[in-house]
Amino acid sequence: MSTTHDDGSGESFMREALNRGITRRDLLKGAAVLGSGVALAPLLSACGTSGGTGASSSPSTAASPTKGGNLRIGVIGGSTNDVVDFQVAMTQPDNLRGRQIFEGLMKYDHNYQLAPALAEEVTPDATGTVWTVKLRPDVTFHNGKPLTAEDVVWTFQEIFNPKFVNNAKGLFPTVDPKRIKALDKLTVQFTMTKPNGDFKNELAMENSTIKPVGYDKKHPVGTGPFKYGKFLPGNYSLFPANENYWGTGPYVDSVQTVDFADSTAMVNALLGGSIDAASDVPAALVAQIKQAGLKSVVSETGLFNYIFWNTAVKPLDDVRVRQALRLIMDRQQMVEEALSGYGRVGNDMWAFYDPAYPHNTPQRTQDIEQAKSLLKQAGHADLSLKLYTSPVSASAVPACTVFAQQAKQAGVTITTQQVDVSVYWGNKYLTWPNGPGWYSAKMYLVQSLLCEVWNEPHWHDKNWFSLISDAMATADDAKRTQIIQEAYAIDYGIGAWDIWSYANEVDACSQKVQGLVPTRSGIPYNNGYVNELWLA
Amino acid sequence: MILTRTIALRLVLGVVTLFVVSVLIFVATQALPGNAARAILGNTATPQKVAELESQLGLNRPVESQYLAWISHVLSGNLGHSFVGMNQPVTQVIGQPLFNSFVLVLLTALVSVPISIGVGVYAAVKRDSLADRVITGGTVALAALPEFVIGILLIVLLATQVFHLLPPVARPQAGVPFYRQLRELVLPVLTLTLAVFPYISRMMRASTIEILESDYVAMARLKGLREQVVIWRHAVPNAIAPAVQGTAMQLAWLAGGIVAVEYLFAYPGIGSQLLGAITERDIPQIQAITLILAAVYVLLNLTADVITILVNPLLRTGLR
Repeated sequence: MSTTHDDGSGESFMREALNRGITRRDLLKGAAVLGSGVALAPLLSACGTSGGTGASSSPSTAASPTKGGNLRIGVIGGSTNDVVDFQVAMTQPDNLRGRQIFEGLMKYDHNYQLAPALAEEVTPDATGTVWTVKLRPDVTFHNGKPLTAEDVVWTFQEIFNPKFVNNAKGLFPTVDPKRIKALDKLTVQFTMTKPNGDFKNELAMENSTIKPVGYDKKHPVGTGPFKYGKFLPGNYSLFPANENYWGTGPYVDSVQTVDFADSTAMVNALLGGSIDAASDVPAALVAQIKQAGLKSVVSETGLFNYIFWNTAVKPLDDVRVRQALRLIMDRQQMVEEALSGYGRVGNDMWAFYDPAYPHNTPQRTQDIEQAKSLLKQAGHADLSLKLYTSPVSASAVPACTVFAQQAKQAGVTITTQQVDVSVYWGNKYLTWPNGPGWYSAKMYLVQSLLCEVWNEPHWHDKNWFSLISDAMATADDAKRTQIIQEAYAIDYGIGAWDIWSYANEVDACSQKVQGLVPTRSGIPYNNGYVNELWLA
Repeated sequence: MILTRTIALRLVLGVVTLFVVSVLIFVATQALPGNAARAILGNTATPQKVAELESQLGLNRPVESQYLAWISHVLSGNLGHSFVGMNQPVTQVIGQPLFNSFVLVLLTALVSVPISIGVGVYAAVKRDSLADRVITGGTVALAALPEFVIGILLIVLLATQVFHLLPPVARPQAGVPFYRQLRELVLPVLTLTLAVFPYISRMMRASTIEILESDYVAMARLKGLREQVVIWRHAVPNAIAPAVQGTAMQLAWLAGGIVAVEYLFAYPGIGSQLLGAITERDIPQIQAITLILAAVYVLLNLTADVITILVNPLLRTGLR
């Protein structure tokens, strides 16, 4: 059985004290160690129960939630640029804080399947041009005002307001802000510019979180389980519970979200007890967590990592070169090296949890001979490339480095060139010849929408685009799935995004924290729904 | 009086320095690629969004008018609002980190200065003895180690691997009163003490040795005064001037230059805050923090000079 830190030092101290004869100071010190040992006994007794595979925690225990306490969660990243508004959110801390305060009309559950949120029903007409949203009747904003259809109309019109620079607009290509009507207090009608079969998935993206009419960004007000409170961007936020929340919990009195620049510091904070839970724990530190008798939860997520090839840049415009580069990749090795095994290999297709994802497509593996032959056909037998890389995620630079090594086996020389993140996403963004990237879990059409707007590889395949717009316009689920699968075939065959892995995400917490379960979105702590957690 | 005139003159020069610094920092930030609009949008940037944000933040105005707008606000006491994040007032954004750094610098000064001076004097008095050799060797070794290496060694030794006496992270917790969190500060203060100790103590040692060889000290000894009185009442006040100057420099460095130590302990100090502001190209924050740090520098140097004057009777009465 593993011991905690204090226990270890107490033992050696005792031995040493006995050897030289106990003095009064030793006695006082010993009393302190003994006292802390007694206080830690519950921790010690619980250790070892969830070490093991780490694939599950103990939420299925019948223990019912206890109320109270301040839940302190750590998150990597953040800066003075931290926000709470999901419509301008950029980083993991933003994702967490956004979930605490705001909610959308639909959401994804822990299996990444559509579920209702503020809307009870979202139904299209036969063509998918007119969508009707029925709201829950029992929701109030943090300022006491009830949620009505007017608020939904206002939120969407704001999204399309050119003065409000946000990320949500790009997700609603068919919404016409002038044709959103409140039919009654709880019913909203959207008349689209074209038929749209995928509106529910668009609504489930956090970016359409609902704000009250006249929202003031200096005093954020939402419908979520926690209310805006103290917030020092880049440092921490302390949000008290919303006692009138319509959904699950919240069980804790408040949640404190603490930014950390460094995983080691965050894990140290968890081990030292100054936070209750840590997220995105790197593989190297998981052993330390288990050794200390803490819990860890590993989630297989839909977050994927990719390297893109800009088809506007020679020789990447030649599909055979791109196919060859895909065949050079030893994805398993990249997962081992860049993700320390905490991930699954990708098959050059995104949206793993989309109902249309073709799980039967054979998994692409390294095939050096085929790669060499393709390059020879393309006239680039001794290809030499510069691969740009940037630490946009913890795995991005190692993955590119490993891939560059693998390329040698096919006679391809890849030299990596690392640039700073602010440069990578600076004014040369969208002009790089190649580079790494990642997206959190999404459904296929929404992901395609995003990649259309931020088209890093300048992908302009006419067939693919026409399939996407056909799929979007198809209200019938089965037919839409079929069309999407045709698009998937193009991605798999000749696409420009090499999706080499889907990541696993590890959360760690003290024995006090209950309710933590694996989720598939890639957002930590039960997909950010910390209202599901409680302190025992 | 000579002293007040000196102080007044130095303060005026200090203000001029601050002005020059503010211009230089402004120019330097403009020279960086990207701006706050791009930093806010990150990888969601499209040309239209960037243009809209730039006009909302006033970033598309000519550089001179941006600077003049800023300086006129400052002169009326308004440090402005952060361009990024929640657009909170700059005073609110930098208030907590400033306080955190102030606490750290104060505690480090209170601990390190007496110890450094004491050890320096001791080494000087026991010159060339074994104790002196050990102290000298030790301070050289400490001076050679970067401060974050010292920090890592202390963490490994006292917090995580060898002993587990102290917490390895110095993140102040919200809602917990400051005096209950002093334990978290022990390691950072110890790290910084060990970082500044070599310079101050060596300076003290060198100048004390020189003073101890002077005629008046020999005279005092011949008069039969006790050695302790000779050292502390007669030698040290004259030897202390270089150490005071050195301390001022070290404290100014501690105020804004310890980003690596702040990172190591996850301590939200003003150094990390400035680094974050630069990364986000948040001009109001960058300007405000740099101004404050420059002012700290000026004031610390001024204080050091005043102490030097007060301690030296010749300077005090203006004969020199």
